Parts: sequence; structure tokens; C-alpha cells
Amino acid sequence: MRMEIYRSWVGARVLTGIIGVLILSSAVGQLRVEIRRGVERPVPMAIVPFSWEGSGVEAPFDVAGLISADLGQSGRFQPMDLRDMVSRPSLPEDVSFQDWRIVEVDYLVIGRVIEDVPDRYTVIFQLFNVLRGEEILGFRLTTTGTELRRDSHRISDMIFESLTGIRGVFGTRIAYVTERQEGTEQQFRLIVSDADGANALEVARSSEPLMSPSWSPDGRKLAYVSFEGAQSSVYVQTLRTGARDRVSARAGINGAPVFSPDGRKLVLTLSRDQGNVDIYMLDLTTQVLIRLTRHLAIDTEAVWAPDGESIFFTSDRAGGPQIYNVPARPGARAQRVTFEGSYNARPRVSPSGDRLAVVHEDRGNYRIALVDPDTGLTQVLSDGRSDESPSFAPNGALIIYATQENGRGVLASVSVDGRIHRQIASVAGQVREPVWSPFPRS
Amino acid sequence: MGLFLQQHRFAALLSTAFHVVLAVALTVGLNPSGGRRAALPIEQMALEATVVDESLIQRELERLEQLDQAEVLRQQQAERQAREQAEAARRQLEEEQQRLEAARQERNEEARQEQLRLSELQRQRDEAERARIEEEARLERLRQEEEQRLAREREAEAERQRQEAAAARQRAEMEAELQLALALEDERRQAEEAGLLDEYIRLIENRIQQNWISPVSSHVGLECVVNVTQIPSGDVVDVRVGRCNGDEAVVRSIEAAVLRSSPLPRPPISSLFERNLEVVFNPEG
Amino acid sequence: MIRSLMTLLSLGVVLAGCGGNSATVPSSTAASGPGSSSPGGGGSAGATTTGIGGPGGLGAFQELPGEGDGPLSGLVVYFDFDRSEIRSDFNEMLAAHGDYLASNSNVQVRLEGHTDERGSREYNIGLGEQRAQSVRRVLLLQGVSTGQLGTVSYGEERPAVLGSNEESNSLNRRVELVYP
Repeated sequence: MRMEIYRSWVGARVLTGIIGVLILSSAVGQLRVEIRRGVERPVPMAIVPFSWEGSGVEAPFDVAGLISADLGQSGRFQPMDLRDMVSRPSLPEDVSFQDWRIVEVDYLVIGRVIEDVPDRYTVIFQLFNVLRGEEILGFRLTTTGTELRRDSHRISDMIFESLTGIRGVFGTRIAYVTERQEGTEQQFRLIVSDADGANALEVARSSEPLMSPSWSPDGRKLAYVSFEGAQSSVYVQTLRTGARDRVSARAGINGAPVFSPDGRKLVLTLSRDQGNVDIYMLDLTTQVLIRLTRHLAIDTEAVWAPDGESIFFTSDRAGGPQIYNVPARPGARAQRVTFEGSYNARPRVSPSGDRLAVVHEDRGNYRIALVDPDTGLTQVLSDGRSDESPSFAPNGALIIYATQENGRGVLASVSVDGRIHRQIASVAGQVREPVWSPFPRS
Repeated sequence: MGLFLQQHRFAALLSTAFHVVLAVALTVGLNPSGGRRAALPIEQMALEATVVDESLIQRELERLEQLDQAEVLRQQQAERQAREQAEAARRQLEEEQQRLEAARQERNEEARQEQLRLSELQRQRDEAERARIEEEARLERLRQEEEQRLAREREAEAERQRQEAAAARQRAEMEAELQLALALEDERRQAEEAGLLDEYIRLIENRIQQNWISPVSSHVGLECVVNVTQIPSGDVVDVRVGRCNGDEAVVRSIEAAVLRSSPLPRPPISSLFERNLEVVFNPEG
Repeated sequence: MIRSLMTLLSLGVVLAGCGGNSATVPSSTAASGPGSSSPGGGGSAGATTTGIGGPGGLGAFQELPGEGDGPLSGLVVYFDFDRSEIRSDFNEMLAAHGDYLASNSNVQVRLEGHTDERGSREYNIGLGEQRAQSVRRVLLLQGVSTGQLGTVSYGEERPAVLGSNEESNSLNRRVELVYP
């Protein structure tokens, strides 16, 4: 009798429980809300001018100003105007999140520059999530006067990566060619500058054309084509010293040099064999030259896949320029990669190897397009009339390229999703053939 | 003790008989070496003595024949007298000893019997005592077991009653909750029919939509869920991003969208208030 | 300098013969086929028969590359978009140059290939090279020796005309015969 009472008591409890849950869950549970669109605009954030503790009226460098310019330039963030800042905290305890919520910024950066001894500085900063009222990131670094700019870019990189998950490229460099009328002559220059255009340095100058710069993977050298002496030659120049080697000056074309991923070889275009324009591979240490294509058509503009195993290049063997791929060894067969449109040339490979950027003819305009090398699917990114020379940023998120603005050659960039377009401040004269450096090795 | 003997009559009888037999056996039986010597007849001794004398005398005669016969006879006489005296004394001593010995043994025997009897009585008394104690203990045990059993039964009964009471209470509570839920359900259903729930959802959707700064990496096919907990004032107290196929920028943007929308709009009627929201970000092209 | 002198001289000759031979001047260029007679007669014929190199071989009627109105006067071959084949209307001109070079084996010429500005730069270097090679092959067939011919391609880097319209483009798609 005891057991039976117990069992029925438990049973009743369970049963009621189940019924209860069923009813309550249909009545309670979760309400489903669907969001179908948002507003597409850059994320608002505030970068408060860093406080200064040291000799002199102000810091030797406006760290917050550079961070603001970097993040704003990326197109993803909208830094708050300094004039709208009601308070300018530099210590976490002075931050009142409610104040920043009112002015509708989502993220806040504050910081301090402290002079430890002359020309030695400590920079401290914090990044806050205003809506959550929490610190996301805090960092301290020591630096010198000449390194302040570079380290400010490092801070921009850290903040950018924290908020987007993408590695920042604010500390990288670009190389490009300028052409300017000076007196009776055209002057060609090869320039290296920071990615934002600052610290521009002349690497080479000539009254004859300069073309096709290419970075070595360690960022220390540039290969390029020069027409000095009325013929084309390929040079490799060490940036720090300015010393250069002439690595190819064969009869005919010496062009389109590109470093291999391990930095030991160049792939380049030669026409030494009876004027046939073909692709060769040159070992920079042994000087061994290996021919990779053998075709009457124009084969040029070769570039390495990131694994160093194969080459993408332009060939018009099918009648007009298209992109092909060939394994990086003699006697291998080339396979066609692009099938959309009648003109696809000048391939460049994304750092992950999953996309090509090409010059693609789109209804009479030459534009930058992304191509999936496996499927040939093509997506047009830029919208100019004669866009050319695409180059991936080392984080794979941006492409820099050359375009025309009012008849002048200028540089522009586009994000790989095609949403953010930026024009880069151009210098006097024509600017072209931009190429993005690898991540700095230091 | 009397009760004990009465109750164990047969055993007592047997015991006594055994002891009597034992006493008799002890009295009649065992008799150590001293007694046996006393039982030898005189004649035998004299015979022995004579035999010994004759041989001695012979020897002596023979010897004395070699020596002076008178001396020998005199000596023989003297020796004989001495011997006889010694003999008589010895005999007397032996008899005395025997007598003493017998008396002593008799006394010992009596004492022993008395001892036996006493110890037997003692033993019987002890045994009776022991048996009594055992019996008492056994009865005590039985009593205690009985008590415990009763106590357990009482307790089980009490427990059963408690549980029944609790079950009854539980049922009453569930009943009440059910009633409340049903009442709310009714109200809610009516409200739904009036389209008010839809309106509530639209209000929330519009608020969050206005506040969502969608990043460049947001794309058609994006589907991200944010689980939101709010309190009746509309204040958001918990935001948790669940499954999401967007990148870091997207995750941060949807979290920010919800936080920026706090406090959320109140429902048109309060019974529509919902604590838990599942906000699905699913931009269309 | 010498060229202009010769031009003056020829002009003088023409003027001197003026009022007489009207056949001298324009018709020759249009009507003549390769190697056919021209009123200046002695010009090409003289160059062919004497075999002596250098200007002023057999008299004032000899034309030099880039001068006069003869087929030798043209120094630029033009091409269609993205093509490197020689159009037939340049056959006569190239024949003339071929003859001239074959007759003057110490004369060298540089064939400079160019393209219009459209498309990618290194591809255009290749295209300019193919154009220069086309001209080279034609000249070789004429009996010109390889040592006399040099080629270089500038792609789109040295346009003849600035501008993005088709007219400018068509003038940039060219091979220039550059005599020292």
C-alpha cells in the first residue's frame, strides 16, 4: 500500500508538470522579431585627443589625429568631430558612458602620451564599447619621436582588428610610378610611401619610362622595368641602400617582373626567342633561366599563386587576352581560368589564393573585377572607364588600382565586397601602377 | 533458586546422582601408597626377618666358627635383641603412622567431599543465575524490537501524511497557475485577434531596424540571432548573440543595435509583454 | 640638317623643271606599285641599280626615308585595335623601305612598337613587340639583313598623341621606323 501511494503521488506531480509546461510555453517562450534591413553607414566612434604629459606645450605628434584619419579612411568608421566633444577624458575613471551614449557613438578611444625622458615616450590607450559600458582593449607601448607615427598606425591596426576581426594595414607601404612634364622632358619616378601617402621617397628617376614595380616578400627590395638606354631592362633595387642589380637585359622585351613567395625567383616576360613574347622563371641566386610558356601568342603579366606552385598569366592565345594558369615547372600545360567577357588581363592573386583581381572589359570600359580561379565567376568591383593595375592589400580586404580622373592618372581603392570606394590623394602629374607592400616583418 | 530447581527437576536429579556416585567412588577408590604397606601381615615380615636371620646366622656361625663361639653367641644374642627391639619399635612407629595416615586421609576425604558439595551447590547457583540473566536479556530485546517497529510504523505514517499534504498543495498551486495562465492566454488570444501582438512586434522591429548600423560585410544570406531579455519597463537586461554567419563587424553591429534600442517599446496591453525575445537579423537584398 | 638641305635641293630641281613635266609630283605615290617607275625615275631605280649606299647616290632624285612623297616617305605603320598584322595599304611603303635597306646594307633602322592606351601596360608592351616583329619579318623578306634591324616595344608608354578618343587611339597604334 505504501508503494502504491508513493507512485501515484509522483505520477500526479509529473503529469501536472507536463501540462503546465505545455500551456505555459505556448503562452510564454520567446517572441520572434525579424530585422530585414539596417542603415548602411560607417560606425560612429570618438577618438579623443590624447593627453600630453611632458615638456613643451603639446606632444610631438598627434596620435589621436592619425588614428582618426586611419579609421575614417578605411570607410568603416565615422570619427566624431573634435568640436562636438563635450568632454575629453584621458583616464578610464573619467569616462561617463552615459555622456557618450547621448552623442550616439558606439566606441570610444582615449589615451595619454607621456614623456619619460627626452625623445622617449610612453603611449597608453583604451578602447571602450560605449553601449555595453565596458573596456574592449587597453595597451601601453614605449616609442621614440621618429617612431611615433609608425606606432600610431600600430594602434590603429589594433583597434581596427578588434572591431572588425580583420588585420589592419595602416602600417604598410605602397610603391607607384609618377610621370610629370618637367621642362621639355617627361620625368618618370618610382616612389615608395606609407599606405596613407606620407613619407614619400624617390626610389628611381628617369627620363625614359619606368614600369611594373614588384615588392620582394620581405619588403626590402623592388623589382622594376626601366627603359634607360632605349631598351627595356629588369632591375632589382634594395630600398635601404639604393643599390641595384640589373638582372635581365636580354634582346627584346625584359618586362613584368614578379617575386616568388620565397623571394628567391622572379617570373618575367622575355621575347629573346625570335620575338615570341613568353614567360620565364629566373633564379636570382643561380641565374638559371627556365622557360614556362612556348606559344606564338603574347604570354605576359605572370604572377605567383601564394603556394608558389603555379603561375597565373595573361595570354591572347584564344584570340584576345584571357587569364591562364600553369604549374611553375618546364613542360607543364596551361589551363584557361577566365571565360566571362572578351578581355581579362593583368591578374593579381589575393593573399589567401581564393580570388584573382583582373582588368576586365565591361561594356567598353576597363574595370577591376574579382575572379574565382576555380569557377571563373567574375564580379566587377570598380566603375571607371579605364581602371588598371589592381593590387591586393596584404590583409586581402582592399584593392588599390590606377584610374583616370578628369584626364589625369590617379590612385583609388575598393573593398573586396565592392562597397567602399576611396580615392587616394594624388600628386602632381600622373600616378599609376600602385603596388601594395607585404606586412612589415619587424 | 527454588523456582529454578523446580523448573529443572530432571536435571537436578541427575546432577545429584552423579555427584553422589563421584563421592562414593572417591571415597572407596583412590588410596595412595602408604596404605598398602600397612596391610602386609606380620608373619610375612617375621618370615622375611627369619630368613634373613638364618642366612646371617649361618654366615655368622660359619664366621664365628672360625672365631670364638661364645663371643659369637653373645654377639648373636645381643644383636638379636637389638634387632627385635628395633623391629618392635619400627612396627609401632609404622602402626602409628598408619593410624595417623588413615585419620588424615579420612579427614581429607571429608573435607574434599564437603568442598565438592559446596562447589557443586555454587555451580548450580551460578548456572541458575546465568540462565536467568539470559532470559531477561532476551525478553528485553524482544521488547525493544517491538518498540522500534512501532516507532517506525508511526513515522512512516507521519511521512505519508506530510507528502500527501505537499502533493495536495502542489496540485493546488499548479491549479492556480494554470488558471492564471489560462486567463492570460485568453486575454492574449483576444489581443492577438485584435492584431495587437503584431503591432507590438512591429514596434520592436522598427526600433531595432532604425538603430542597426549595418556594416559593409553584411550581405544577403546573412542570418544572425540575438537572444534578448527585457524587463517590463522595456529595459534590456541581457543580450546574447547566438548562431551567426557574419563576421566580427556584423556581430558587434547587431549587439549594438539591440543595446541602442533600449528601452524597447512597451506593448499596447501589458499582458502581451514578453520577457524573452529572439531577434533574427536577416537582411533582404 | 642634311635632310632639309636635300629637300631644298629637290624643291629647287622641281621648280627648275616647272612648267614642264607635270607628271613629276603627286601621281607617283598613288599609282605606283612596288618598284614601278616614278617620274623622279632615278630615285628608286637609281638606288636599286647602283647598289651604292648613302644619300646622294645617283643624284638629286634619290629619296630618303621620311622624305618626299614616295612610299619611302612614310615612317609609321598603323594597326587595328589589338592586332599586329600589317594592313595591305602599308605593303608598298614597307617594300620601299625594304628595298632601301637591302640596297644600303650599312643603314640600320630601329622598329619601335607602340599601342593605344587601352588595356594593361605589360600586355601592351607585348602587343607593341608583336607589331614591331611583324614589320621586321616583312623587311627580312625583302632581303634586309638581320643586323640592320633592331626592335623595341614601348607599349602605351610613349603615345604620339594625347587623348582618349578613337582618333588619338588610332594614331598611337603604330610601329615607327627610326633611322639614325
